[in-house]
Amino acid sequence: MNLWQLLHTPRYWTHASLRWIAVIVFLLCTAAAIGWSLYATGDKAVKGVLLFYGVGLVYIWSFFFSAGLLPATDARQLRLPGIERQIHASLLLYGVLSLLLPMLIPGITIESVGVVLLFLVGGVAFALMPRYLAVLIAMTPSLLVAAWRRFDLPGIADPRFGTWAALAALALLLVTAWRWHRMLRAGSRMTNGWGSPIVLQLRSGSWGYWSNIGDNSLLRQRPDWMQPGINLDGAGPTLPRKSLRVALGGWYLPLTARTYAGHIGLMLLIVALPVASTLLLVRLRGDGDAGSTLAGGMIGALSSLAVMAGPMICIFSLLWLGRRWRQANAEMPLLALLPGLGDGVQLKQRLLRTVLTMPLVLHAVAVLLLLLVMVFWPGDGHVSMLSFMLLAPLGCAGMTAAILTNLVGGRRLPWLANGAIFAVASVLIFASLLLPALAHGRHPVPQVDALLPAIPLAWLLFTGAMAWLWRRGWRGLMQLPHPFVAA
Amino acid sequence: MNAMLRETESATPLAAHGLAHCYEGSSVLSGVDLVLEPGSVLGLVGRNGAGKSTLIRAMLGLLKPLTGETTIFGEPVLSLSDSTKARIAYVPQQPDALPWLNAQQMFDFVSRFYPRWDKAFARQTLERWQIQPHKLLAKLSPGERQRVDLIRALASQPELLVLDEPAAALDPVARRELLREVALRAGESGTTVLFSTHIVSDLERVASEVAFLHQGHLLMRCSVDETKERYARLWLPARMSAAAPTASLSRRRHDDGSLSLVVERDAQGQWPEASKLAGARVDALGLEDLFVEIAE
Repeated sequence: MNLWQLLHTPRYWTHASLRWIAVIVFLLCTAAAIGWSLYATGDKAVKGVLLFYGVGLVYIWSFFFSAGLLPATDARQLRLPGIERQIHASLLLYGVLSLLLPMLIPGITIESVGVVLLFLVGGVAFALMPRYLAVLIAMTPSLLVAAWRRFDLPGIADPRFGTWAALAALALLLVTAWRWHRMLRAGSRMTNGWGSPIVLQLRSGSWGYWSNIGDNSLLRQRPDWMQPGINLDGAGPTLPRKSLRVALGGWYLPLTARTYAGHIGLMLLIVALPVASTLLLVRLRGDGDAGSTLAGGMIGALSSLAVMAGPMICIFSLLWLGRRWRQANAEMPLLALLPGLGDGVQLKQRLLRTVLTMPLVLHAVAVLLLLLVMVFWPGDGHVSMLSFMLLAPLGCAGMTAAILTNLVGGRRLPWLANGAIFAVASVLIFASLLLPALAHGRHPVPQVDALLPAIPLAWLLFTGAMAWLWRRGWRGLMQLPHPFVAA
Repeated sequence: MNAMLRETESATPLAAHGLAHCYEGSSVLSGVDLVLEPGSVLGLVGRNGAGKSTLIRAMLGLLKPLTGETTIFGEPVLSLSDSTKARIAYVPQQPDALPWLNAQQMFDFVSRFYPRWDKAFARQTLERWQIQPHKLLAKLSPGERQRVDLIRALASQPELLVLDEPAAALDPVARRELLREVALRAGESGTTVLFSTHIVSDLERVASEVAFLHQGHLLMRCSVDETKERYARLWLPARMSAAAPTASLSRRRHDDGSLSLVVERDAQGQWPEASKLAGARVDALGLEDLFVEIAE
């Protein structure tokens, strides 16, 4: 076990994409910290450097180094103590390097090591905490502010903060080490449900969730009390579209009223957490009007959500249905041989309508949210600005329809083509958000005004391309002998 | 005459002609012809990757072959009517359909499409096979999952039952129960059964006919009882290998130059001429030996 081996060990812990993203984020944050140290002076410089470097450190230890737990667990189960020792030694080495690296930045002294250690351990602690606790992350800013005020803590650049941070980091380190040790021993008995650590999600690559969409592992992880109630009333040959919804699963499933109520309750709870956090912040600061702050925050959050939801709806539908269409042993053979669903063009139309209805309804909800934002937006002159944003969910609806029709029509687009479409849509979405805000915001930039007509034009071109793509999928569907035949 | 032909075709549960298919340029099926007679139980054997699942999927219209056509009860398989679909049941290898439902919900849902659904059979078999009816299908073990799908297929009382590796995930007890059920259905209800398997002992237990698929070709097909009588291994010493018959199911040369061939009796029931040469040997082959000889 030499130094070179120890430095190389983490290469094998995670998927390449996850590794590269973590390293790039860390390097960008470190570069920002160095840049800041050259630009600012005094306490401001120290504070900035620590914050920039700290964010990078939390990220890389949360999503990359903490993943060392997974091979360490495997090595323990396979009775390979040498590998387990190597992983821990490698983590120790990177831990020491992480602590020493900022000392090279001008202005940062050894007193700051406690703060850096707190960031490092905080990253690992985040990765090891149960998933349900991650929901409370939204509360963190207000809790931190509350703690600062309640205990009258010194500022991050204050040398006294270093001592406090070192003590806090050591306490957190003990808890983290205990949790690490427990999970290492639990091995394959580690729970897979909501109580499972976040790091367990890294095993399946990317951030875990996306690659799991449509997979049974999510269904297996969900405890029984969280399983949705499925409403099978009327499903059968008399209601073929409802039957197709049952067979497609996911958000297509017809649910009972109780389950829908539960989902709405959960959504309200998720919304309530940042709202409560904002209220707490406002109250603690004791400045400003809580109502207007909250309204402003809500309007901003809703408009961003409505715009950003478009690609998410499309990606989720594609991943979910893509898996259904790809599996030769799942719903497709069952549906192909199920009598009573109809036949010929009628069945193809029914299937396409079923596949498109739910995502298009969600896109319509996004449009509705934006219209509500338009109505409740405080002040004047916002309608033209928000009109540009309205183009995003409309364009995304076209994108969803085109991509899903091609999938159903047996002409599934290659990942590269889908990626290119998502990239173009993302650029257009950001342009629709940013350019009107720059042109009509609080500090208007006159030069941007000239660029605005290009936005609807670009969306128009994009929608035209999607229409062509949709037609390609539709023709493919019409040429299939039946819609469930493997392409 | 045409009417008679149509009647014969509609009575034939499954008839495939010239099926050929390839994946990414490599051929998986090469002109396969297969006809199933009513009430027959045909075991389809072949090594991994021989093309069994592809053949089954092509014969059921789940994929469109490059060439060839299949009819089920006289109807083109890619445009089956509802009434014909109601007469077919298929269990894929490692079934994974509707994992968001539990077994009871799945049966409740699927039963609405089948007019002859046997509700009592589904309930009793679920109990007998000790599968929790309210447990989510996603949470069942692969063996339990396979059994649920087998119950689903059998409860619809099909006239044509197609099973792709039905026993792969089953323990010996469950496997035997399944085979008993299949034999019972074929014997009492006249159900036509096509099943693929690696387990040759299963064939001997239940199949009336066996078909060997090797590298996309259907090498042989005959009744299980007939195989021992009809096929044998012909061994020829090196000095006689030039006399080996050209028609054989498999041909293997040993290190010492001797030759092993799987040969078939001719129309008169005679082994090839070479078997009569001095030093030549004809060995009887069990079903498993025959499979190994052909597939190796």
